[in-house]
Amino acid sequence: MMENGKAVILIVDDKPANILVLESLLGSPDRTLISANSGSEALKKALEEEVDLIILDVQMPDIDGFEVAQLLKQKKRTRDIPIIFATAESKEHSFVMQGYSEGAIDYLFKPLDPDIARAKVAVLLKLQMQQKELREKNISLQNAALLINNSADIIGIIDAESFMIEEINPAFQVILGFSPQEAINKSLFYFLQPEDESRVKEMLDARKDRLSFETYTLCKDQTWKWLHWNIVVSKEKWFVNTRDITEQKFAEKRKQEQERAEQSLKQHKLITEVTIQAQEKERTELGRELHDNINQILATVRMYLKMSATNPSKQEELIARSADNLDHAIEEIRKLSKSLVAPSLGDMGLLVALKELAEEINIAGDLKVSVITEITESIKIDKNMEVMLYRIAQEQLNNVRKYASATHAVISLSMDRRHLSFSIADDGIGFDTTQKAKGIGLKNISSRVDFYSGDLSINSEPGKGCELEISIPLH
Amino acid sequence: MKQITLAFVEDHKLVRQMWMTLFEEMPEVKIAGESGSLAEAIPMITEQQPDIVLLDINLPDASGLDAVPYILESSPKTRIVAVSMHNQASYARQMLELGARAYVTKNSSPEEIFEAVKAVMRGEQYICEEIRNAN
Repeated sequence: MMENGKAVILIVDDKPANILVLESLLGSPDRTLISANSGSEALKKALEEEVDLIILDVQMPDIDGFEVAQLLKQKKRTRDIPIIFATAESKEHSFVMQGYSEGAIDYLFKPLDPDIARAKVAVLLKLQMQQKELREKNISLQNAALLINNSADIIGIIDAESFMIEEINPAFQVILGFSPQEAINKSLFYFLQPEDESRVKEMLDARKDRLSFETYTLCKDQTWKWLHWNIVVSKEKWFVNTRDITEQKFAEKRKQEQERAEQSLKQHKLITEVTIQAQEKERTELGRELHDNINQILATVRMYLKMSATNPSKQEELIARSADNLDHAIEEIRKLSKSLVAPSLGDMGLLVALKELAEEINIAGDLKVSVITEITESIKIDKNMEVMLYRIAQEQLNNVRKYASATHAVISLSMDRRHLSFSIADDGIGFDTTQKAKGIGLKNISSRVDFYSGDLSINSEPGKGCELEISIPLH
Repeated sequence: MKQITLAFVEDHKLVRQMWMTLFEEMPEVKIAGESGSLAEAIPMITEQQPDIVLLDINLPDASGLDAVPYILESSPKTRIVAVSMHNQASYARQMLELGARAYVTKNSSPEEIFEAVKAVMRGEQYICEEIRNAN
């Protein structure tokens, strides 16, 4: 067949008149007629052109028709071209023609009957065209089979009603370990987990013509694989394509783990940094307290004592003042060391310690602090966590006194089996939590809470006080 | 003889009390006023125009370096005696450069304080022994 879709007929005869007759007889818009005047020219043209049918004169001077036919049958390219011999009727010829029983062979007797000639050509040509089409389809089927059988993905057909596997490629065995014979006529769900079955059936309720899902699937060798399924639903069948994504999944997981590790390293660095900052701040404050307060008080004592040495009349008064100021210094040092040394909560427990802290602040008078809790017995939590919470209360109440201009503050403490909740609320000036960056005090609290994997939230608005809430998981 | 008028700016209550006791012993000195911060001190100094201001260089609202120009502006004839717990010479040098007339630490003896007051009244500069000896 030519590229323009026309059937090509080769007419072979040593007499041009005969060719003309056949041409006029067979000519049609869907046919291309070519001709040859000898056996050798016929062979040449048959090889050069895509010929669909040959009408071959038997009696020719160089190579006769039978010989030409024999040669054509030997070549792969020309083997399947149907041939119609044109010959004078003779017994000898009919005998020879029986040798070509296979393939499309026919004959026309001279003188030609136009109707018979037209009919025979039409029939053979149609047959040839059909076979040609079949051959082409066969090739594309073979190609498809090659693709399917060599695919690394599972490809198969499943009955949409019964979920029976009807066809499956060898990749099923490569991936899951079950051979196609083991799989065919079994339900797809035989190979999946029960939860996958219900999940997929739920998707079916949505009546989609495409399904896409992942399963974690047990292989024949008892290993597990991650599979990604793509299913097209058409004509009561599922056309399935399934990929092994186990490696990909593990790579993802590894990447996630790595990211988590990096994150936690970062977090630790931050905690260390904030801790160091807090320590430095504490040291600075400690230094200032010693230098600006206690040292100054001691300097006054020194001054009074020197004055008393040169002023006997006022000696008694000056020594009394020295003693007073020494008492002050002692008291200041006691306060300072109390704020430094971790309070021994072990003896009194967190609750008592918090109440004592509130009491101390209440004595000063500028802020009224109360402790609210439903906990009556002493709570059993990690000693370090107790100290941490006590420190947070100290830090936050210090913040409130310094910045909040509050009159009341409430510490509340509650606990269930899983969490310990701790909050400090005040009725002070508050602040815009979106505007104000966390000060060192809050950072300090935040790093302490992080250390116990707790959650910290700060609720505040200008004019509406501030509430610091902490929740810490127990165990 | 006319009494020397003296004010002091000092945030520590016990130290203020000590200055009070100390200068009561000095008949030639009259206490013109006392303040705990620069903000309180400026109106008092403006009104009193004291001969001497004893200035603590660590006030809650200003460092001594910041306070000197304010005081001199409010009362140009006042002579400032800087007092501090700090015994580093650099503090003393900076204070004198800014216009203070004397620098004494709070560890100085009563006699030294008196000496500093007398020296500045004579128009001299004075730096306490503790700092002089350290250098």
